[in-house]
Amino acid sequence: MDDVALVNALKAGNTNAFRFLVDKYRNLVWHMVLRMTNRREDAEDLAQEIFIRVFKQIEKFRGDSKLSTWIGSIAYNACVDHVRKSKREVLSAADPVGAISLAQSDVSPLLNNIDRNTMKKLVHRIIEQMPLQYRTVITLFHLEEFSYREIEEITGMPEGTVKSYLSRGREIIRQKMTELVPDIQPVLFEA
Amino acid sequence: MEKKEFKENLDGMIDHSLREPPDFIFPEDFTDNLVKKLEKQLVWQELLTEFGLKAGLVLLALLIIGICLIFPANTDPAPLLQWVASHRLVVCGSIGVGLFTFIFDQVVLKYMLKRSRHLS
Repeated sequence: MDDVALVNALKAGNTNAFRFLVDKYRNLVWHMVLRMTNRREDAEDLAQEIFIRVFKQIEKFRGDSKLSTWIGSIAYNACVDHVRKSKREVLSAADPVGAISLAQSDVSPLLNNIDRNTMKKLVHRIIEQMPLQYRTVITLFHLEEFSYREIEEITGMPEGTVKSYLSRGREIIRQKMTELVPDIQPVLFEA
Repeated sequence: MEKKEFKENLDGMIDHSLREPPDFIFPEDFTDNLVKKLEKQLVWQELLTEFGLKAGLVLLALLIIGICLIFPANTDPAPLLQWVASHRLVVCGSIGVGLFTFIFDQVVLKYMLKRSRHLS
């Protein structure tokens, strides 16, 4: 079923189409929720709320953008609201490096057996501690493979800002990894 | 040269890691639970809308009857209002019981019926 047929079926209130929509876009929503909120215990409820919001607002979808972008923007707004309500996080991205406080003790257990999987865990831990804006654009660009333009549509951030967060985010990851794992160099040369 | 190679390796590792999804596994029954939740919400919404429309119609009919009874005959509504005020417990109780029965019959019972039909 293509997106046009899917949207028409959803507008008709078809719950089977809703099931199809959830199966098709669950990874997008799930990854955004996990990365943006950093709260695994709330993830399922929030993801459900986002899909129900998509169903209820489907009449507003005019087809000007891709369905995935539109769902992404609903998920983005829901996650930002959730983070604001939980008041656990300062939304400012003024000092992204300072915000990351991974201690050597957090990383040490990972270092016993360094491989790609360990590196992945380390990168993910660094991402988890980045400010919301960085986590969002990194997830949308690298994981969901949205273009700069689409990320602009989803988040409302100008394209230049998106690019800046991406390059700065990558720089932060690189910086933190070399700081936290001084013996990373020989391991990387073996790879 | 060594530095450049190190940077390229690190970038490759970072790229690979960035494209990897978070480890937290998607719940298997997510779609089923969500569809059930949506269906439940849609049923409630439908029943409440129906109830609102019916209640509105009943109130409108009562209002029209009231206006027809009071105004054409030039009846003074003051004694009637006074009676209502002095028997407000009975009046409010009757309205409450009527409303509760109406809601129970039109919303709760219908919801339970639909749910049991759906389950069977």
